[in-house]
Amino acid sequence: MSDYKEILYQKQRRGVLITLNRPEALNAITRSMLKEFHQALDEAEADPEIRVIVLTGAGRGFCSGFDQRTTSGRRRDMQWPQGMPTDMSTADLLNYWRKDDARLLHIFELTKPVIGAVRGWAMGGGCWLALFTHITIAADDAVFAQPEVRHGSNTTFMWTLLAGFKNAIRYGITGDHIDAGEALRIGLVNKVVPVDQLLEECFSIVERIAHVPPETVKINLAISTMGLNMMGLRDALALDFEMSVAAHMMLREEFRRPLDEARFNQGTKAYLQLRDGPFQPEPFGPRSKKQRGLE
Amino acid sequence: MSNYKTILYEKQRHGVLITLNRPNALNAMNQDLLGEVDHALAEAETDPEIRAVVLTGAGGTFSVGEDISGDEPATAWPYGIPQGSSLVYEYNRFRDADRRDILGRQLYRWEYPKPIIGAVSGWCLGAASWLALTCHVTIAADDAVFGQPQVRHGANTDFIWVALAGFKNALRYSLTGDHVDAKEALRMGLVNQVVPKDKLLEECFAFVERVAHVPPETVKINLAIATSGMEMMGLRKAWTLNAELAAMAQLSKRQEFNKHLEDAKKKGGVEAFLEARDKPFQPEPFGPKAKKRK
Repeated sequence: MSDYKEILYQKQRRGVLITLNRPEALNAITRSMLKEFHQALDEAEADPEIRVIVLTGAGRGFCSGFDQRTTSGRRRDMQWPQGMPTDMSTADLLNYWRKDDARLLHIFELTKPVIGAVRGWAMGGGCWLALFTHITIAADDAVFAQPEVRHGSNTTFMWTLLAGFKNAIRYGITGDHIDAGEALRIGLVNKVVPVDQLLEECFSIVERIAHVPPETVKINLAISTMGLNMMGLRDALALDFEMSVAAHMMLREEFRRPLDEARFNQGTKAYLQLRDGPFQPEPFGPRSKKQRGLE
Repeated sequence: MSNYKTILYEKQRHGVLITLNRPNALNAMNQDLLGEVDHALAEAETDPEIRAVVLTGAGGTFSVGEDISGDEPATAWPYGIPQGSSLVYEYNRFRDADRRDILGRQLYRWEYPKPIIGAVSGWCLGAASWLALTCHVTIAADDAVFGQPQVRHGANTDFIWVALAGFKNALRYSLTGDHVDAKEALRMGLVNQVVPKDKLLEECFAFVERVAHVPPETVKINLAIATSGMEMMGLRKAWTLNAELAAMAQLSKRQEFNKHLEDAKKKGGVEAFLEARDKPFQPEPFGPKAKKRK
């Protein structure tokens, strides 16, 4: 077994629990974490004792997305009106953004099932990780969202595939929060369970899958995943990827500059307040649920 | 009939000859010319006397591609975009222009309900090569030279090269911008036939007259079986991605590759720009001069 630093790898009950393990940063994704995660997927795929992978996050959330401090290229020396980091050419920037560290198709095309176990925040890139798993179980406190679309970043076509055209656009162009109930309604998750039963629910599925011969599971996974690829998912994701590069490079001064300034002069909290303040209350956020009298 | 300024529109022998007519600029394509080609195609589409369109260039050459003369705003280095502009603005501009003017026009010609026959002699470079290659039938004179030298200064190829010449042949030429003579073009499948230069239009209109013996509805359906089928097979998807990549290619200028070209143009005009750009690639493996040396 490898020596992982930013994830946990715990074999149990015919499967393995891979835990994104940076709870102090709500499991924000770093490049080194992604590297470990993909290595862990390979390790689990090659281990005949492991029939299914369960992916979760440590602490109170699943994953808050890409770590804004280490992976985003968001620098205090942005050059305006160019909308580019000082002393970088567009060619440099293009090369930078085209590195596909997330490799979400690696999850999707894995030959063993991956089950996402989501509690609390699943934001941005964290939400994509959850969506690309083959089965996703949400705790009742789960919140999915892509707030990054508010500061010049992109959604993924996987939302459209799962939630359908109108639902995906509704949330993909605003970054609005979605609670577990709405996620279930639009098809982002398979089931919602109480938070204290989340892992038990996932590993009971693992054990059911383990009763089916591995070759049959592999073929039935492929009928779905390769079928979707053939239907055009791979094409859509190929375009998606270019769109993602484009989205990250197209920064408009009047939208972006105040956010960057808030971030570097006053910190992340002020930045998030400035970015997300206009959108509050979130229609499906945990607080608005209380306001709606649902709790 | 409309009054065209940058093209000629001459009905003859069951067809129409549309001639790119800026011979002083080797028929370089500007927005006026491209707009008039569209307009002329729309005119020919509704004229029941016209059964096929022949597209050629004036003065013995097809076209050298997009017109790159004229002043461009100076580039801010190292950013590689025009001074005082922003990446978001330039990006939007390129993408919109590519969809509307390049892909939009290309799809209009591709899906055109009458055959368009490209009659290519002399230079057929850059975007003009795309224009010639997306014609339904392309006949080359023996002096035709195809090439995409724009890839040498931070621009892109078009997937039609891959669709016609195949993966390896297309890459061989689109990574370098190297010239392709008529014979090599025939070998790779870029053109249907190579004929002596003085027989080019005769050969094309002989073909138009053969087409005219077939009922128009049948011709239309058989065109669609090929063109719509290619779209269904994925050509449309490939072109959609192509449009994105074109925008990126044109904006990712790198100082060490591009600045000296821009400086040369500022100092010595288009000629100096071309000299700086193309000299390292000479002699061209299939250029007309290389042939004479053999």
